[in-house]
Amino acid sequence: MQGCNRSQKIAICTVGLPARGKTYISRKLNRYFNWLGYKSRVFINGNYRREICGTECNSQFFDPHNEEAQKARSDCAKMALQDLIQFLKNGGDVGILDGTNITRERRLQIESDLKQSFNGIQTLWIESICNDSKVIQNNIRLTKINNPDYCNVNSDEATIDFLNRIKMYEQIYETITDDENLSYIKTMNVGADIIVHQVYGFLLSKIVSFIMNLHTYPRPIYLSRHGESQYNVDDRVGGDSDLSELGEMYADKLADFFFKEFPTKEMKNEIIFFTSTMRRAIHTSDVVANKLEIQPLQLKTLDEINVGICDGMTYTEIAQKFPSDFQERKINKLGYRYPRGESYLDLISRIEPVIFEIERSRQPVMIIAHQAILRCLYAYFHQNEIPEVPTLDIPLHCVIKLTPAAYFCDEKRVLINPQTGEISIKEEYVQEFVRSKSKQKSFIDL
Amino acid sequence: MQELGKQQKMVIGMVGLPARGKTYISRKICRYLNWMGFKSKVFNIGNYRRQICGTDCNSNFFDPGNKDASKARDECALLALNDMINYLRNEGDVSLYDGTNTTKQRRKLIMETLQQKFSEVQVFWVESICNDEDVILRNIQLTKLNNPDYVGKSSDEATQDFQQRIEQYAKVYEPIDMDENISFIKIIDIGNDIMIYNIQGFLQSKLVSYLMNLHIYPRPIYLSRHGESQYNVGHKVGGDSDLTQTGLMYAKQLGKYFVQELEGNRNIKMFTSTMQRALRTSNEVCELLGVEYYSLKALDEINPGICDGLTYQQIADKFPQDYEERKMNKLTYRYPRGESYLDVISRVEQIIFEIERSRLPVIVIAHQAILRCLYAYFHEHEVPEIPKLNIPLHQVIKLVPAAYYCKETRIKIDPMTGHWEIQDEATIKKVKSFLDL
Repeated sequence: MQGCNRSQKIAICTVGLPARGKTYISRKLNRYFNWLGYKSRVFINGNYRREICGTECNSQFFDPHNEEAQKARSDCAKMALQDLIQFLKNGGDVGILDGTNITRERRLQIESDLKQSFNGIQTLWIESICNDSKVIQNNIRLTKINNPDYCNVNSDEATIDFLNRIKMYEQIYETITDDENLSYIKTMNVGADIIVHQVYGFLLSKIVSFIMNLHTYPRPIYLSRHGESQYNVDDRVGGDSDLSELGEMYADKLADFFFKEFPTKEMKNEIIFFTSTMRRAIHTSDVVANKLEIQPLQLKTLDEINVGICDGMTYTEIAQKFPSDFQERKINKLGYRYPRGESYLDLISRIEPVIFEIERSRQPVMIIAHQAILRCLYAYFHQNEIPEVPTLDIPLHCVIKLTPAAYFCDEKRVLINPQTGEISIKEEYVQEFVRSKSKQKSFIDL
Repeated sequence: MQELGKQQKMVIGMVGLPARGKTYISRKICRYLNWMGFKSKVFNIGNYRRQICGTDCNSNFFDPGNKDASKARDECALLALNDMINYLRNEGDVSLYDGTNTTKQRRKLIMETLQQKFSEVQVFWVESICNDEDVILRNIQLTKLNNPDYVGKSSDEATQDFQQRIEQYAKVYEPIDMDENISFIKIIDIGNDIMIYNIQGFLQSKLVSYLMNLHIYPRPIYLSRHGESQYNVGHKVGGDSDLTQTGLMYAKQLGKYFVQELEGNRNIKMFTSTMQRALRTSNEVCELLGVEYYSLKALDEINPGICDGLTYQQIADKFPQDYEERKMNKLTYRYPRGESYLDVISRVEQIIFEIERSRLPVIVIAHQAILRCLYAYFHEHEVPEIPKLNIPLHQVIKLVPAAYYCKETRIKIDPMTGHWEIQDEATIKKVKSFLDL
């Protein structure tokens, strides 16, 4: 549905004390919009402050009575907003301002600046409220300690200082009230309780549905292609071919892998298991299902990309029969739509409900599907740039395990040799990823 | 994805003062759920009260101090509850409990009764709050005055009595509180404010998304197929054929129809598919209207898989078994490598949301199977009927949502002469069936 509502610019601003999940929500939304095909970017007040004022680990800097510091922080916030407005002017669709914005004055100023900058801009305020000290402590532990503000400080000191910083903010915190005349969403206690005020419009409604389904349970997501199929062997696209002998062997070894991965009956019964309606996926899934004694849901939405008139051909045959299409696809693999078939963009649109389902689930998710489908799913969770989607490496006979961590996903690739059952593992942890990214100098999201 | 919702039975309890749109909302939800494949039914407590206590229009009956009446009303509530549970035990997936349920005590009673008799059921509450006097008055005029309670009364008398009835309820009204520990959504002033608390599961999540898109603007919805295509003439299924000369003429006449119908209003939303025949038809219309359309793959015709390009006769010859199977169960039969009507319903759901959400007139130019699914949703047809609904070429179906149903008008347009023939479908049958919601 990207088609609808392209002309409207949207600015989303967060509100809330530190360690309330504002950055988490901003990132998730940013991820979601980019994946759907909107140009979206996050502008983090904190990053601007760090660049300009230096990495300040002392909570005194955040004292509302510290006039000099207040002015500096206010200037930084203005810069972030200006960059957001510039981004929208230069072709951006959605700008997300990630900051505390806890005073009425600040909010009204931002709202007024935004409304003046664009005719018909839609603004949405998202306030994240949390009073559960356990959740807050956990947030601090997971995200703040790796924060550049505390790179030279040990974790206990950092926590104490950060809690003091929060106290500074609490002194002047004003929750959003109706008379501010803002469109807002208040989420409390990690989405258990949500208040929506004057939110209208295609994208804004989608945002509410999306936020409703977010949570921070670290459940794993397993992605695997079906075992090798006849068409894979012949190098053909499309079709509804069955598994090759090698593919059947993979199905067995895959079942063994999952059997060990979920040792108890309770754990097995918890699994949310999706597959497509195509033979090669069903047969692979059946083997796994039988071994684990669970049932997969066959979703047509997970069927492989429809290659239209090229169904059943090899790439060479396509190059010969439809040379101009072949070239077109090479240049723009993302947007190219097979005649009578689909494009990757159609695919992303198609599988959006599955993304919602996965986000919503608090239990382990297992998906056995197809290359193009998994490229789209993987890209969403692993935050790849959309143009990369059609070329992502999702090989046969490999299980990708994604475990969502603070702002990214831990990834573990399990390559299973279908004949020997031998397993080789490749892991990529968030910590390394974050550290490597934070070395980059950028105001904008990591 | 429907299977995800089937994992648990559900009771949806309505809460709110009279004339707050509870019946409107419960009927909408019921229609949506049935269309999506969840067997649902509304149990209207007022109907039970009318059956058992008679049609008593005196507002004193609703005085919380009137002990006898209160007892009778409680009994009716429990009767409805029992019927609801039986429905779920037998064939139903979702029951809607349409009543005021305005006190904590009543809600607690329902939760406890359900816990006792049917503990596996999920319960979800929908509270409708409205403080806009104009809206309330309009609700009373649109729906209450046709109510059996007021047969034979003048509309002024009826309105006054009904307002007094509302006051009786207001005396004891306790909006849902978070410490009641129930899952709920509060809709305030027709969606101006929404509160969501403790949503559990796939179906509740979907319902909340759905409810957020509802409104009561009476905007019209126009459905039309593309003009006659080459494949239509050849009696072939599938394909991506172009319009015939006749089809092209229809497209132009359709444009002229809309120019007159919309009276220069360019503030409309137009959707079409990505297939040639629909695009060409839409292009003609848009040129005359001066608007733009959204071309959505979700509106493409049902995919006939391996039968693409064949006539029905050829299908019967080549795939006799499939041909028979489809005849027996046209709804669920999936063309090999293609789709079933159920797949189409699933695919077209996002369009339903778009149309519901729109406060502007909507025009959809699409295909037979697609329009059957859309039409069935708006016109409340049973899902098994969908594959046989009559959606002929060269006809515009105009739907205008009214209180509990849609007013339908069909406009046959002759492609050659441009002559219109308007058929007004009887909507009276909908009004009289107040009792069998």
